[in-house]
Amino acid sequence: MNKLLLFLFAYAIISFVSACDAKGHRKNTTSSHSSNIKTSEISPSKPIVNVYIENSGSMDGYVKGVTEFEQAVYNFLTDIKISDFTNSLNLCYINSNIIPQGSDISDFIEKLEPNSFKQKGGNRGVTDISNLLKSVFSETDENEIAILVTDGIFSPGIDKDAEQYLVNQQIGIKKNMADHLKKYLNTAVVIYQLSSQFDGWYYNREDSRSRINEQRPYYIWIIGNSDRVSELLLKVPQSKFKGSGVQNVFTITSGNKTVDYAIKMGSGKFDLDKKNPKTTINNLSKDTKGKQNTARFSVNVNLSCFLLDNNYLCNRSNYEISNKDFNLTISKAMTNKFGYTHQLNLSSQSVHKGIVSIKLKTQIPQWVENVNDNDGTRPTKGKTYGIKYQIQGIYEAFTVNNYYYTEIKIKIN
Amino acid sequence: MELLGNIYCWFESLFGQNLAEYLWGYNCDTGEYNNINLFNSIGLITIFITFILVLAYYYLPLLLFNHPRSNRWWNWLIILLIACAINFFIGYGWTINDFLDGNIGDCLMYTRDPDGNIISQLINKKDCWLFGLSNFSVSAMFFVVWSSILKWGSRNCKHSPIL
Repeated sequence: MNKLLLFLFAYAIISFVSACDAKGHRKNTTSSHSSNIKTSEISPSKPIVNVYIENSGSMDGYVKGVTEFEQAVYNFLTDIKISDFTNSLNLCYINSNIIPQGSDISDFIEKLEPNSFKQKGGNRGVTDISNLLKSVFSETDENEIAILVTDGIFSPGIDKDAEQYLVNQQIGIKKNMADHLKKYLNTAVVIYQLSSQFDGWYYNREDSRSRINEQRPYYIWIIGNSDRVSELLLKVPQSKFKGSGVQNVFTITSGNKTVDYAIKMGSGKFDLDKKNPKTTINNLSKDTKGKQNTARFSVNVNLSCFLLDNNYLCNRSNYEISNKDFNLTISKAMTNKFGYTHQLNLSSQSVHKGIVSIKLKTQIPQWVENVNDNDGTRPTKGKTYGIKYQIQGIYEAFTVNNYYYTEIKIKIN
Repeated sequence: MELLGNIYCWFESLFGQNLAEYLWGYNCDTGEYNNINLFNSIGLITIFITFILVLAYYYLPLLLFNHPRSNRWWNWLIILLIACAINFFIGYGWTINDFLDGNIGDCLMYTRDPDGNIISQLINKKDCWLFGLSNFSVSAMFFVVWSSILKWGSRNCKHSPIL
């Protein structure tokens, strides 16, 4: 009996020693999941870029002599060409018709003068932006990017109800955009507001003109597949614009998208759920270490697919949270290998359980209202007659089914 | 199986949340718990060692184990302390090795600023000592449990430490 017990004891010790040895094996398993990291999609072919410069009479003042307008457009198009983004860049004038101008950028820019605008023809007396956009949309297929350069000023003409005209234009733009979205759901629209010296005739809403020589805003629209536009903005960022640079940006893409997000470990006093660590937290409690004494946690999220600038993404008013007791702040994410761009920080004076939903809303930025001229009877410095209606038309087409870009849901057990 | 991890996490305030997450098997590369749950590995070794020493104390006819002269409560306490000490060094040794070998993921080890510079270190050598201490405590608990189960068949020590 004693010998048997001695044997069992010795056997147990040997088994234990060999079990300890197994520790070395686990090191091999830790790195086996790194292959899950997403690889970016490789574009099958380079997109075609079609550039449309509005050549209605109201644009003449931007191209008289060497202007910031010409420098900005020339530099932008050159950057697109040399960035290897496209193999095919087509240049056109646009008013009532599209007038092709070849693909030689320097020649195109050199000829940007009021006289050549007139020579190219088309109906230069009226700017029907709804129809102009309709033409651009009809020419923009899946693998094409449209760049429209315009002063964005409506010209209803004499004896027209201007207010009614603007609303009708907005509806027309909405319809045209919605029709395009039906065909190409993954479309993005980016509108840059820039500024240039303008020396020429300003046409008011009744087409009566007045001579001005001052800084005037103009707009560059970029329309196309969201992934392509994203690629373009990466290769030619707005910071590269010459002249006065980009002053404001409006960006919109299709909403209700799923984005990658995860609760940030160590961002509060809680446990991550072992099965769903990205979306579920357990045992949330108040963090008594800091001064605030709040229940808090942070969520890392990748918002890069929306092409929105950091000012928009860090603005609290662009988010909607289901539980009003939570205070939300947004900051840039720390360096990480998952591509997270922003960090949503939530804190509450009390511990809540259930699902917290955070929606990134699709909104028109305040600058649109600020630069909109609702009157249109005379030139107003830094403002554009009816720009708000154009952007609202685009916005309404994108938000017809939902009003948010994405929803982030966190479960608190 | 999360039972052992939950037991160790009674002592989480000692050794820290980040070391606990590492021991739970959190993988910084995937953001999920898909590494080996080390609480289970260390816990099972701890259970096994305490089981063997309790078994030896009550049944092994060698040295002063299972002997009429070793059935005092302090004899039992000495064996308990030996078991706890062994497990203390196993807990410490395991974690300090992983710490020094760089096996603990960067997301658990450091807080970094947006440029990637280290702002603070979240796991230190001290935490490994404190995890050893936690394993010491867990070991003592299991020693008591095994003793209360195994003592009744012992010829010489069934009344040790009490009754």
